[in-house]
Amino acid sequence: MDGFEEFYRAHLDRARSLAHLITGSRAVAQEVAQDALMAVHDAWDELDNPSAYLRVVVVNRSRSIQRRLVRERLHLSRFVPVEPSTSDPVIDETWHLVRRLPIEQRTIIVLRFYEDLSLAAIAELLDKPVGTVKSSLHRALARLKENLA
Amino acid sequence: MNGLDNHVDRDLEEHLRHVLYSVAATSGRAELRMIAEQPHRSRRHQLVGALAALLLLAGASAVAWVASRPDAQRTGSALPGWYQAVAPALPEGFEHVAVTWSNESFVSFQAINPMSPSLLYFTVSRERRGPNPEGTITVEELRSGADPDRPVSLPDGREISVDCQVLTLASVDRMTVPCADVAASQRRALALALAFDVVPQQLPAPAAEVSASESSLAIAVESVTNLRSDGGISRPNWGYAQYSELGDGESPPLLQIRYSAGLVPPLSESERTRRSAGTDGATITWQGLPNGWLMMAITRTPLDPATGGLILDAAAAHKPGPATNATTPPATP
Repeated sequence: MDGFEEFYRAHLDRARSLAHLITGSRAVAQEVAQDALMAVHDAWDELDNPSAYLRVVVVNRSRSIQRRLVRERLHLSRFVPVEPSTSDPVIDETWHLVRRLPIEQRTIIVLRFYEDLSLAAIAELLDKPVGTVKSSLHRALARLKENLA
Repeated sequence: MNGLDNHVDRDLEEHLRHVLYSVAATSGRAELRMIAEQPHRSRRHQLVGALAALLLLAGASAVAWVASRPDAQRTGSALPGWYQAVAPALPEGFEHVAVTWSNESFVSFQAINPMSPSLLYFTVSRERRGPNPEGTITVEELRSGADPDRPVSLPDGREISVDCQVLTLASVDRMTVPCADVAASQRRALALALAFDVVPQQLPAPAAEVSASESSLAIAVESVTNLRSDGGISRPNWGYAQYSELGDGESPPLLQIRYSAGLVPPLSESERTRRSAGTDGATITWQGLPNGWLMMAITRTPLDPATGGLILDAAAAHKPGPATNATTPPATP
C-alpha cells in the first residue's frame, strides 16, 4: 500500500470540501470523504488515477446521500437550518441560492466552478451527454442570475 | 447573447468561484446543526447527535459567560464599549445593533431599524487579509465617493465592509427585507467612521459559535402551517428559515421567518409593537418579543397574509431562544 497514506493526507481536505459543496453539510461531507478514501484504499493497487477515482466516488456518494435527504425532508417539517458558513453575508446568500438548486444542477455548478472541469469531463463523470450537462449548467446559471439580480 | 450578457455571465462565474472556494474553506470547521428526526437512525447517528447536543450546551454556556462580562451588559445605561464606539456612525433609525459573528478573524454586526424594518450589515476584520486584495477600495477612494458596497482595505491590510448585500433582492415579493432607505452616503459615512474611530480597538471579544433555539421557531411554524422546511441560515444572533408547500416538486418559498437577537440597546416597548407592510403579492409582519428578539414573518400568496401574525403569536407564547442578553453568570466558570 505504498503511497496511500501520503495520498490520504493530500486529498482529504479537497474531498471533504467537494462533498460539502454538493451536500451542503459539513458533517455529511466528513463521512462521505472518509468513505470515499476508504474506497480508494480498497482499490489502491488497481487504480491508474486515484485522484480521478476519488472524485467520482465523492460525487456519486454525495449525490446519493443528498437525494435521500431530500426525500426524507419531504416528510418532515422540522426546522433544518443551514450552518453558518462564512463571515460574508454576500457569500452566505449566494451559497444559500446554490444550495436551493436541484442536486444535478448544483453538482454541475460545483464541478465546473470549484473543480474547474470541462463540460466534457463533467459529462463523462456524471455519465450524461455533453449537451445535457451544457443545458443544465445554462439553466442553473440563469436561475442564479435571476435571483441575484 | 450580447456583450453585456457575456460580461454579466463572466462576473457571475467569477462570483460563483469565489463563493464556492470561500465555503469550501470552512469545510473543516466543527458543525453545530440541528438535524430533523430521521426515520431510521443508526447507533452512530445517535452518538453523533448526543455529542452535538453536548457541544450545543457547551456553546450556550460560553455565550452566557461572554454575555455576563462587564463589556456585554446590555441593561440600563451600561452599554458595551464597542456599541458606544459604533453608535455615532450609525444611520438614523439604525440604533439597535447585534453582534452576529465574532471570532479571531473578524466581527460582523447587524444594525436594524425596527420601524421599517431594514437591516444593515457591517464587518471589521481583526487580521491582515493580504496586500491590496482584489475587489477592495482604499480609504482614500471611499472618501472620494467610491462605491461603498465594496470592502474597504485599511492601510494595515485589514478590511471593513458596510453593505446591505444580504438583501440585494430588495423586494418583499422575493422574500427579502428592503433596505433602500440606507443611502450609499450613509454607508460611506459609517465605513469611514469605522476606519478611523473603531479599528483597532473597541471590538467585541470572540464569542462561541452557537445556534439560537430554532426548534422553538419550528414549533411556532408547525402550529399554524403545514409547510415544509426549505433551509435557511442560523447565526448566534440572527437567522432565517424558509418554508415551502409540501410536495415532490420544487416550489418557491411561501414563508420566511427572520429573527434578530442580542440587540443593543434592547428594543423599547413602542418599538416592540407589531407592524406590517406589504405589496400585492407579499406581506411582512414584524414584532419585538418579550425575550428581546425582533421577529419578522414574510408571507407570499397564496398563503394567507394573516399567517405571519399567527406565527408571531405562537413564537411569543413559546418564548423562543436562549437569553443571549442574559446577565446571570453560569453556575460553573
